[in-house]
Amino acid sequence: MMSDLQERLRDAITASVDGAQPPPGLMAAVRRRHRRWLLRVSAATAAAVAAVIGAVVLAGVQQSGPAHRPPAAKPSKPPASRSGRPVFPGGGRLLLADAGRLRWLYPDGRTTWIPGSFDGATVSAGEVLAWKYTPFGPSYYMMRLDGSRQRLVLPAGHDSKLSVIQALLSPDGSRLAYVRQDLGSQTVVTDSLWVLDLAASRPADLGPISTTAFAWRDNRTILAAAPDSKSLVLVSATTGSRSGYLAVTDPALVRAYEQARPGAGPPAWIGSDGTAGSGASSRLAVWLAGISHAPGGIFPQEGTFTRPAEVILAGSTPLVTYAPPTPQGLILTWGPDGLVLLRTGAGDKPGSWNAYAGTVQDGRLSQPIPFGMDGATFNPAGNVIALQDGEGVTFWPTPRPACERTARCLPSGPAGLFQPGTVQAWVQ
Amino acid sequence: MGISGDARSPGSEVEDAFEEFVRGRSVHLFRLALVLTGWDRAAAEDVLQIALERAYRRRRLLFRQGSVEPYVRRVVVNAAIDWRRMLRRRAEQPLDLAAGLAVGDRTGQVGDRDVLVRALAALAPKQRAVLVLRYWEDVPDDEIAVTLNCSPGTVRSQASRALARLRELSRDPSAAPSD
Repeated sequence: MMSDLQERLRDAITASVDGAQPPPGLMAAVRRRHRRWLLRVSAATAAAVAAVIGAVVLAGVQQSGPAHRPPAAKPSKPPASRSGRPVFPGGGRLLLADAGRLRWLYPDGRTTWIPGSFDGATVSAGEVLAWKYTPFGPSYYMMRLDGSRQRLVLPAGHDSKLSVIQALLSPDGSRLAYVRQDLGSQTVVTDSLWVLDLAASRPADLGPISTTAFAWRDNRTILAAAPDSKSLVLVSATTGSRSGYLAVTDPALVRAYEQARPGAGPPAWIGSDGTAGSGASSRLAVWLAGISHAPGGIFPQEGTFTRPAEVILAGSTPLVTYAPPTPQGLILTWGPDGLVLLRTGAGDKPGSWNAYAGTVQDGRLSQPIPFGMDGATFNPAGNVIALQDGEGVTFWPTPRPACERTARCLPSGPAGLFQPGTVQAWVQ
Repeated sequence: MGISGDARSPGSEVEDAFEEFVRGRSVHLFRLALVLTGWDRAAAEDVLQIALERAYRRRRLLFRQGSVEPYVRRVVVNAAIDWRRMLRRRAEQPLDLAAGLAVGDRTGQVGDRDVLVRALAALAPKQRAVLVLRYWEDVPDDEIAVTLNCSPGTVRSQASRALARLRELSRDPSAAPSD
């Protein structure tokens, strides 16, 4: 029998959608979407066949076998590719999440499974940081690359906070920084940065931040956006002390943004997309965006971003600004040796997403690659990109001019991977 | 002379059946998507299209198994949850919670509904999905468990926790919408 609250909830939901109708021509839209999917699959299939010719060249250039084959945690499947050609270009090995499990896939088609069930993972500091979703948010585990020595480092639902929404290992793997999301009221969500000393299993609250992204600057310092997304702050992971690093009003940033987005006015929001390199050659990617007059959501700042751009900084000096044609989202992924990939698109609209390759040395971007809505990963050599769209992975040789920074530019064109799973990491 | 049903190919029958399914169920499924995406109409349209397109790919198998609606519902629920996660990651378009809600009336039944709907929208996506499926869709716990890839026990505990949170949110006077 329903309680009063349940009855009221049912009434409230019914009333809230009363009269709501799907858009006209729904079936036609579904067929259009289906045709796009067919086109994409058939294009990738044709390209995969064509790529067989180039695969011989690829195999010669790239190391096609895993140099450090891990001990098999589970019996390997028989090789999927008996013809000798790699099942994906670029060498190394791919960590795939596949129906609640993780597996390594090698170019020759061999697979090794990681024991246990996990929904996703990253590879950092020579270890796998994996997570599994629970009703109270994700639980995080660490393990060796072969899946051995698994240990729970951050359980879900460990207190009244709602959830952990992001977690990142420090470069040396000694600390785990994570964002806890606390619902303070119906309209206010507080995101706070925490750090867990893995040796001592001791968490520490480092205070509120914005979740537009945070990154380790070194093993003791985290670069994060302030809660109002108006500045970047350096947060000490050991003492929790904070110091201002860069404000959205910084004249050099404002100039860089206004040149990249003429007519947009000064940027209103700032975020960090992480650093690459170390010491004097360290580079920082800063995300900037203008203010939108669209209505906001129930969470602060949602829906208020528009016309984003990325600025690469050496210290606080802008080197390069990227402002690709973008409807809404702009995400920067670092690759090796100063390579970057920018993905832009509008929400969950597959046709709107493009990826552009670039380098920190040069503001020129490649021609758009029409894939990558759900993620992108460079191979260790930087000359192939795995682009994720739903359940499919498209491999695309890093285009010019960015590929000129790598050992060799490979012949352009897509190759699909028709194995289940989503790419989590690509390592040697 | 018209073409009799018997003379038609099995493929076209499946095609017709799918269209019939979309005609008959799309309003309800759209409303489900609307609630699960936090009353964001554009997102709900996307989520529904994604679900229907995925079902369309598998239409023959789904009709043979008689499982079109559970499949579509499952995709709608999970696509809406993924969309919510993606929204936070990409800092994109808003939840236009105001759309379709009677926000002007803070008294009586309408005000109560408004508070409840806002509280529901403020829950974590999976908790919201459990409440919507359980109390609005009347989906049995074991089916919700399949939809959300968890155990029936987890569904029950999740529902209990979500209701407690909903109660807390809808009682907290400081949490009342300020607009």
